[in-house]
Amino acid sequence: MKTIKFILICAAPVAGFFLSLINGSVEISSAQIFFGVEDETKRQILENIRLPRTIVAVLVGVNLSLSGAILQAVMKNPLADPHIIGISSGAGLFGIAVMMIAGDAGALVTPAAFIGAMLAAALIYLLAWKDGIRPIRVILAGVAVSAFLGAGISALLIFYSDKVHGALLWMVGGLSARSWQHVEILLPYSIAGTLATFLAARHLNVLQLGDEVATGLGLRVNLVRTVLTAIAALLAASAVCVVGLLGFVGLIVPHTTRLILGSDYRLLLPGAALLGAAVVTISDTFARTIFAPTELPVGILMAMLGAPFFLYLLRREL
Amino acid sequence: MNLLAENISVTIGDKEILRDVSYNFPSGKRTAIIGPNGAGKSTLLKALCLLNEKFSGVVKLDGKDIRTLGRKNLARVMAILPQERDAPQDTTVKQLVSFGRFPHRKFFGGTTVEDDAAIANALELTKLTDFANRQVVSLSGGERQRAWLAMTLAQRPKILLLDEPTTYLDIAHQLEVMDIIADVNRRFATTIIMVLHDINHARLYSDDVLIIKDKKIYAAGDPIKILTAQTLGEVFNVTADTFTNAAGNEIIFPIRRETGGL
Repeated sequence: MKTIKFILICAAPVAGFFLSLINGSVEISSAQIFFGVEDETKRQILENIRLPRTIVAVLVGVNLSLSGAILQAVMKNPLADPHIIGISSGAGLFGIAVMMIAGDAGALVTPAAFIGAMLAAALIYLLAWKDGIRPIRVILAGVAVSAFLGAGISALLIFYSDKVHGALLWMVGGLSARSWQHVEILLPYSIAGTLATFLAARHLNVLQLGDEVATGLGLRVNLVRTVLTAIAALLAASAVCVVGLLGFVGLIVPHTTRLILGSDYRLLLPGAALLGAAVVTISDTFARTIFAPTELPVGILMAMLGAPFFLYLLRREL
Repeated sequence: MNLLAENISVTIGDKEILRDVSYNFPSGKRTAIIGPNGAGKSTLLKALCLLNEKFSGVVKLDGKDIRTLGRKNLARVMAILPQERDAPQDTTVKQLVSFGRFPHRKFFGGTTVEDDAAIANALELTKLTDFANRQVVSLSGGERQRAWLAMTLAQRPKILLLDEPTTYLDIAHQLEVMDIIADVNRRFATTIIMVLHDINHARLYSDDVLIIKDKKIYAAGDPIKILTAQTLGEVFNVTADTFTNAAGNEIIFPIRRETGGL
């Protein structure tokens, strides 16, 4: 049973990756992917459109899933997701502000978004902290922070609509026209964030036992919580900079992984990373082909799947 | 190891909880902390293991201020079983117990032979060896309490702090937990410091008692000598009768609240 689960979780992102490469307005067969495409246009489409877009989908899936998995342990909240609690909005607000000032200056946008995400996280803690963290307060504080920062984003987008391309697409989160440039922006953060997260698996496990037990076991709870929140913020911020406010990935994926593999973070984290890559690649393929030639932003599909999932968790966990 | 509290004072907000408490906890013995609700028992326990850092005064472990030891080093010699705790639904007894090895692990290290031995030993001491693969949530209250106790035992502590270890347990499970604690103390000379509510548990299961009342130490020493019907009257405002049971132990039984006073 365990082997089957393991194989399925490993196979899912591979399947998603190839589905994403094969499907689209131009048919490319799987044989062509392995043995090369002779047609020049098709080759261009594969190499410069579908491949980078698929890689961005993989990285975004990994980042958002890990970010959600961390936040759920750190905030002791099954409903924590970078989008729902406003961390993505914080990243978005600062990221867009820098884009306005400095133009599409790639290198500066992500660090700015990271600062925004950290400030949003700090604000949530500040609002939710009262003799420790209570799950329900985190969600309510998160909703408020999200609404507040979201209003800021909307205002910026309205005032400077000429400067931001595809503002609407950005608000729902989508992968259209993501290119190698975006892969380059995302990749270093994904690698660093993933490694850091995997190293913290045992700390996350201990944190799940409650603050007092964790402290008794020698964990410096506040330090660990701060560092892990920073990692989660960095993962979410880098994703937001590339695909906009894509929600619910960080909610759906960690919970599904938990159902399949259990709550031991040493298994849960790699599982969530793999499943996250699968979910975003498959969802994006589906979203852009279902109403062809109209391309649906993947964020819409994720919200349609995610909102009922959120309600299901709300009924079950809180 | 010797644990010494010097001039511990705790104020939370503008409410004073403990004032200038000093006590030398006898090494290798079982000390019970007794007192009315809100007297500051748990607060004292939390200061002793730095679960609460906001106190004035010093706690010394073999003469060294525990604040200077570092959390991990402290957790290698001192374990605490707090009341507030949580575990994911699918956690097995063995997984829970193995968390007790956390302070002994290196950042990049796997499990050692010593870890396995400590976990097996902790399961055996708490009679949970046959339950190792059961989920903690599926256990009865008494078994669950033993599982958490086993986690602290896997830490192989020299000093074990317990915050009301028998709360919510039925009588048989209360005695079972107290017996395990006594057993650990005898076998490994582990210093036990426990907050208790039951006067007779304190009398039967501890070598030393510390009574906290009104933020201060009211009395301390031999439980049989100190925990009398008269003390109960003074500390808890209750009238108590004293019986002698078949084994020759004195049992104190609270009869009613004293009226007239506060």
